Amino acid sequence: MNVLTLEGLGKSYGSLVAVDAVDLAVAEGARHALIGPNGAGKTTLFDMVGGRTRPTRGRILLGDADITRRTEHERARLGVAKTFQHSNLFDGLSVLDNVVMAVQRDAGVARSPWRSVGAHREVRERAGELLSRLGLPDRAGASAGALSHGERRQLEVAVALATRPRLLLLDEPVAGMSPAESSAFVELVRGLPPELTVLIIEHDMDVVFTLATRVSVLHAGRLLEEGTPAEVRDSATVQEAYLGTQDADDIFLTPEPGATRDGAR
Amino acid sequence: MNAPWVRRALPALVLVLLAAAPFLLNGFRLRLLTEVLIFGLLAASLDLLVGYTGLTSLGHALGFGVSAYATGIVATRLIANASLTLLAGVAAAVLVSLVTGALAVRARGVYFLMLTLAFGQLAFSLADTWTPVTGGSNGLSLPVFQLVPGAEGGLLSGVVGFYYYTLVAFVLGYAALRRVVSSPFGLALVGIRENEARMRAVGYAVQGYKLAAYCTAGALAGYAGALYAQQQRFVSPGLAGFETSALALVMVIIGGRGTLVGPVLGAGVVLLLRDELSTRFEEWQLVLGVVFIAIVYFLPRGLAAALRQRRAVA
Repeated sequence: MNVLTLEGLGKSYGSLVAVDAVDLAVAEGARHALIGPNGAGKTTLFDMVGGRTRPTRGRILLGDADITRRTEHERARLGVAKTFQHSNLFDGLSVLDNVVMAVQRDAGVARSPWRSVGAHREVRERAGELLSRLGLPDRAGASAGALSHGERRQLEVAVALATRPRLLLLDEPVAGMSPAESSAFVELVRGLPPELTVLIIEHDMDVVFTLATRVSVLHAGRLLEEGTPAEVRDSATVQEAYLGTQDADDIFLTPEPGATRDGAR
Repeated sequence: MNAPWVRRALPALVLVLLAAAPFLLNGFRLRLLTEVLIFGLLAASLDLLVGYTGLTSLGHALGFGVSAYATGIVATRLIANASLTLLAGVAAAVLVSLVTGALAVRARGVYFLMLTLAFGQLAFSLADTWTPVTGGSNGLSLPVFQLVPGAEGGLLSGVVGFYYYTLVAFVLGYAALRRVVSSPFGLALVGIRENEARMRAVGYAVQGYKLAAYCTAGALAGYAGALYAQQQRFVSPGLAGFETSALALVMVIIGGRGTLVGPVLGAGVVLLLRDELSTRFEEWQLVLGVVFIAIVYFLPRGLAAALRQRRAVA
């Protein structure tokens, strides 16, 4: 059973083709990584799946349902959750309220204009549980703007999980993290429910090959190769396209932390 | 000032003082206080948009003015019953908010500002030119309103009676707004102010929430507009115009946005200053402007924040 299916998905800006007819199937429970050099179209592809960008061709299926024409918030309701490339939270609100915001929407009480937020016990409890699960139970009262970079990523995942997604999109989650934060984050993703499907863009090849069950390589808007991490690592096509080198070790070196990634936007 | 018992006792103390006001103030001052409560509601309802949702409107007098006219037209042509005209006023304000809001919430930032300004001016022009219905620039003079149908004279003809009527209406309106901002819906509005993209990403239909906020604020503005028409017993085009909208916005800003109580304080300060200065200075508007600038400069987050010394909306 595939949770996400892309059929000939493409996006052109005038004569510039950012993504060109990509076919991709992501199986349920997969940890599917999308890699490729800067400007390969990874973020554009993500934005089309998430609903921020309208494709100019092709279809997007979530399970059996065609979501190509669905708006961003409709997709979120259907089970597509995401973290952004640049972390994106309610900085002025408490850590708990960041999660409550997502839980109350999922619980269907967000339109309630009368009883106070605190009176919706079940919402607060679920938000508290999520914070505990993601290692932030002591930070519930802190302002989200005061969190460290690693903690912000944890909180973003908590917010994403609060909507009980089927598909979680992670856009370069460990970018800018210290090695310690990065490995903590890998552990966190490993601890996610096995039935949750994760599609991840990542430049850090250590992270990709630790986490991924499946890897797709995007190059100049096209899907170049797809397979298990080992297959992709050994593929001559990938090695050539990626860096024009024959030496696999050069490709899969960890990029410097904090380096600018993905020039797609 | 921040001791918990103070914070709990303060609203009760304020309420007691407000209830005792007719025994403490002369008729002139009591009339002013009545006006402060009405404009306090208008400013607090605008705060729902500006302070909570992050939508700065320059046409918030639209609901206020439309409701005042609806009140006036029903009172002069049908029946001068206080609650019926109030109901008609609020209904008219909600209807107008629905129509204008459906267009306005599609715009953002300065475009939202311009659209709301345009809608307010449209209402102003309509009131000014549609003479057979609105009385044109002469406005409409209204009879004394009755609480109970058929009663002659009655409670609302005197300054004290009308004050108590307004006080009850104010407490109800303010309490309703308080509930709304502390509800899940209120939290969602703050989320929209803080980060619209994130709200969409977790599944909120942001425009729907904005429209709901716009209409709720419009309904409360209409509530205030009906009370104002009943108090003044006169409506004129200016009620819907830019000056009223700007005045409400000034009340919100100097009082402290995102606090609800601040804008009510702001209404008090603005109206008191207006009355005090206009009797003392020829160029009172200039002095008023300087005072506003000074307040905004020294208390950028408004009076309420300065009094509390802590973040109001966290």
